[in-house]
Amino acid sequence: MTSANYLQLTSRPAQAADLAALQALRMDFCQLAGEPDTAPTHAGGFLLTENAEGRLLGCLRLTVRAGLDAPRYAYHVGTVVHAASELGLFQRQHTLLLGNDLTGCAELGEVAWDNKTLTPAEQAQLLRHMLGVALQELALQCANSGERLFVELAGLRDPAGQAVFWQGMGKPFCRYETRAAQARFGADWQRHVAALLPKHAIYASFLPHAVQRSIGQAAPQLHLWQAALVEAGFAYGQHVRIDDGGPIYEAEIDLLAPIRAARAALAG
Amino acid sequence: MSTSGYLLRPSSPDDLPDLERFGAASAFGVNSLPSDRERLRQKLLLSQQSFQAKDDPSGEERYLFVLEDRATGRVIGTSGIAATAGFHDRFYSYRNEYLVHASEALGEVHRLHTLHLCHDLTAYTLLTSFYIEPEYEHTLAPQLLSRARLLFIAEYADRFSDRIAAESPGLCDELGHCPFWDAVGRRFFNMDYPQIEQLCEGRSKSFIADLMPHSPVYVPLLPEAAQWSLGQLHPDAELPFSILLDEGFEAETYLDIFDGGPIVESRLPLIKTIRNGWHGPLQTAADTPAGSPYLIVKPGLEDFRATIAPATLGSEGLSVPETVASLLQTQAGATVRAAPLKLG
Repeated sequence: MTSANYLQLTSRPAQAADLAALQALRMDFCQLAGEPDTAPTHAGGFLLTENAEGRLLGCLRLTVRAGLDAPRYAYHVGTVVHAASELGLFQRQHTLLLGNDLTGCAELGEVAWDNKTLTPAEQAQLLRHMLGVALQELALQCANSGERLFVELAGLRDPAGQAVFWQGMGKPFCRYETRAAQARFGADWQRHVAALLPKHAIYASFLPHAVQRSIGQAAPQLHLWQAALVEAGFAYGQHVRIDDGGPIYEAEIDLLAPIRAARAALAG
Repeated sequence: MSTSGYLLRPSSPDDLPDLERFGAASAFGVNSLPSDRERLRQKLLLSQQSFQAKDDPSGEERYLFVLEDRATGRVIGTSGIAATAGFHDRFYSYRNEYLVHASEALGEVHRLHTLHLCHDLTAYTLLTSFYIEPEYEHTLAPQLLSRARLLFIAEYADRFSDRIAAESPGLCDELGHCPFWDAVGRRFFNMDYPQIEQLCEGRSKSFIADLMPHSPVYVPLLPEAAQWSLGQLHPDAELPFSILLDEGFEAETYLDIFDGGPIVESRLPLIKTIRNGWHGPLQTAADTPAGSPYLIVKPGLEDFRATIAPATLGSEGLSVPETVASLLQTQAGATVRAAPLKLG
């Protein structure tokens, strides 16, 4: 489909026969990134990127409409101001509100890449390439897409591998480990866990400081991916994941340059 | 049983030195008496005006009573009534609510304790300002001080709501450290509890409450000390609190927004002293045999009087020793209100 300058990269949609290689790449990546090590159970929607020798270097899954079979949950990170001039008070407070804002939007998810043997520059090139391919693919399917595109990034974990955010914001409400829920229920895990989470806005200041600091922070292993997203026109959209507080990057599909370029090319 | 020798009467501006003494002797946060002389003086003046308001009370009235020990001639305690909580404004409290979150798939059911900022108690009548000198705590004096107010409300029911509430101070140490405030209020004000109490003196709490979180507080997110302090009573407030519980007040639903102390509430007709209350003519005799203890009040605004004395209720009225009628500044044949004092 597309080739690049330094690494010779080629991308294509995954086939059923690619599942084993996909699973291996995802497992390796998740282990290094500290993400839940849930391997994909089918290859549908995955875009694969390989080098000139045909070695699988990266993958991600494009879902044109996310959550229509199992609602997607996220916390919206809002701001409220408590001010009283007679007391000289002006307090800005962050709130977390559980919702389904992203349900029905397009999603790029389950990203994985070779972050063991490639140099950082090669990884950056690979990620730009993967993202460009995914956006071209989305442009082709745009008639059926949602208006927004989002990408979830895993959040911070402590040295023991526990999500910092979940310790303060999840455990008081749900004893079940989210990794175990993901392994057991697949995409449905969010619905089951969200049933136990607070439905009203939570003031972040009620949470321990470490938990507050973790809100919207991506795992360090994802910083290259985060940079590629920002470069392509994505931005943190004030939504975070419910299990680890990781940021969700969002973009208006119609405003993304690669989408516009692809559409212009198609219009020809 | 002899007459108690305790007399409850409306306060007057002359009681200022005694109220200053009570305010200084109260533990921090326990009493709603202002800490400075001018505000106390204003409180006494407002009380005087309230008792003097013969017609068309506005609801802004605040009645302050004082208790005298006639044996010593000293004022030994005080208690009050605010006719309308949050008059011309809102009265804020936290309401305990429980939400059940369940996931059949995960096999979990959680009963979550939440606190909802509410105005439920706005326009209730509030019982306020209770203080009794420590050496009288184990006498009948605090019973008279707290319960006689209820008969005043019954006598002048058109001046009050038929829903009564009373705030009780929550846990707070001598230095003003309050676990509930530290966990909730401080996050929005960055002030110590004593500072915020000072800010509130003499003004409605509503301007402060407007700055508190309006979405429910999920109790499981609070530190353990704060969770444990919810609805807990300051040790110095146990006596007035226990009297109100004995009267049938309920303490499960509402909490103070600052210190998490319990707020008791009840409907007037359900209160024990009101349910058991009686009114009719007073009978006197020099040699009235000892009866059981009664709360006895002489109706009146500025000349309201109340005491506890042995009495016998018969078909012709309530018989008391002449000394009791004299203490109440009334006489045989006059109508009184009374209720048997059945403790516990």
